[in-house]
Amino acid sequence: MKKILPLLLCIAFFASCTTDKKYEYEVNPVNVSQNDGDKTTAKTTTEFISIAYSDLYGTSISQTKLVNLSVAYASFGDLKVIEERIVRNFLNDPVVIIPAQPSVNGDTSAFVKNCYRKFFNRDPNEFETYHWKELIRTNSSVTPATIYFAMMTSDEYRFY
Amino acid sequence: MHRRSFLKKSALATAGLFAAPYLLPSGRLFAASGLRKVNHVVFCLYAGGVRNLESVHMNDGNLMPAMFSGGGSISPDIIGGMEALPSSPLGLPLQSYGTLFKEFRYRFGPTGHYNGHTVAVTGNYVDVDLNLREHPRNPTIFEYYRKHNSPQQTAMNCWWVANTLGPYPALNYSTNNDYGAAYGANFIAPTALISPQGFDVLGNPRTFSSNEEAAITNMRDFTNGIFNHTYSDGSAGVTNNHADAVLLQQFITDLYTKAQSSAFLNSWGVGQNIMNNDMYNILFANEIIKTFKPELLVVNMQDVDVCHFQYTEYATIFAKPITPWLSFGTRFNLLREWRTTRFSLLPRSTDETSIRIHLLMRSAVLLPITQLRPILISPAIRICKWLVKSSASLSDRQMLWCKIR
Repeated sequence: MKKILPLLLCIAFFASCTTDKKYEYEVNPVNVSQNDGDKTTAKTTTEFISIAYSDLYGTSISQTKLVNLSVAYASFGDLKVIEERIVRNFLNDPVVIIPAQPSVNGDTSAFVKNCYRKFFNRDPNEFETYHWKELIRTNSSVTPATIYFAMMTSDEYRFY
Repeated sequence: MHRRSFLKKSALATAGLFAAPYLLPSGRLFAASGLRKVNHVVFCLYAGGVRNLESVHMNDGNLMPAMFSGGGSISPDIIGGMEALPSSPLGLPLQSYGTLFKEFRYRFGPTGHYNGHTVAVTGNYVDVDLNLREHPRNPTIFEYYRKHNSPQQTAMNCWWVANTLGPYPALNYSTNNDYGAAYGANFIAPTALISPQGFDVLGNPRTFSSNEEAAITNMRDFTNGIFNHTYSDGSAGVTNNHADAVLLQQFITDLYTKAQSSAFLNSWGVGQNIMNNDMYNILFANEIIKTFKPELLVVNMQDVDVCHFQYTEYATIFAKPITPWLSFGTRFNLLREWRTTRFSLLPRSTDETSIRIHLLMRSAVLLPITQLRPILISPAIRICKWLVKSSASLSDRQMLWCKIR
């Protein structure tokens, strides 16, 4: 027994000396999107032009272009008319990045989601996703270009 | 009833009888003044360094022979430096076709350009609180017209054509709670919009097929139906309905096309070296008149403001061109505009007074109307409440005169 006891003590000693577990706390990736009802502030002239340009060209607008657009923008009293014309001119530029027509059965949801994130800074809800998918599926005139134009000339695009 | 009370009520009732024809409970103005005398009014603001001395007083002779009668020949010491210009398209000076009110005075407030414009389009003096970044506080002539004309008209019938930007776009409607953008005018600064820079950014719009346009409308209506804010009158300026917006887009496209034609830019055959900003402004205003036949159009001219830079030279030497009077070009435009609009652009009326041009300049108001009484009761006044705002007397209308440095 005397011989066994130290051995048992040693075993118990080493067995009791386990290292503490290390926990690392992080934040899971969460997509934060703006609820459309929170948008109450109309974009200024400069904001509208700059954001629209960035959304379509994928780069910042040059100072010269911004000045020219601002002057033209201020030269007409119906801002809807002039904004529509600005977007039409952007969309007619071959440099502008417009995605290919989404396949009806494949990536439509992703296309719709990308459009909402790009232009409205939020995800579409289920109803909106369904509606757009149906439009794309049933109407051949609903192309990426027309969708871009419709979204960029909608009321929501003018607010943040 | 006490005698004093009776007299007071009688007086109020009598006053009401006089007031009734001018402001009815229905909101109509001047209902008792009868049928319209004119269907179209062009209100010209002739701003800048126009002075009494060189205009109606003709100290250096009649520098504006197409506009004023008499005055003798231009002083020989300055005529040599003046540009030769085409003769007037009218047989007689413009004064002969209307009534010239001389010696109008700007009685109160600062006499800056924007103040003067604001007074002219609102009929109210402005004090020192004028904010260049805000719309006027008092309703504009456009809002009176659109709100009180019966039937109410859209902005397509009501235009404000400015020769420059700065604060002037703000004059197409006021911040008045009873009026505002819903009754404002379509605004355009054509020489800024229809320019090489403007064409570069707006001259090549993408077009869609009719099916695509229908789909776009459908999609936009869907997104607008979900979003809980509207982008319309006020935040979006003065908005037009969809059909009118399509016409406006086409109008802008047409202007870009025309502006590339030297024949259009020299429509009056005076040579493009003669054409100045004012003349182009009138030229584009003429296109608005031809295209939309608006009932009310206000257009301004400010090139005479060059007097600030050349007046001393002019006053000292007298041999230089009289640049404060760039009216040599402007007056021609104005008169030609008057003639063409009266006789050819609006064939539906053979009445020579079917277009009335109200010209405000520093020292005079020129109304192409032959008698005073028709002025006071004319439909032109019905849509220009400001003109008889406080009283029908001529002296009170002096407040409308606009001194613009």
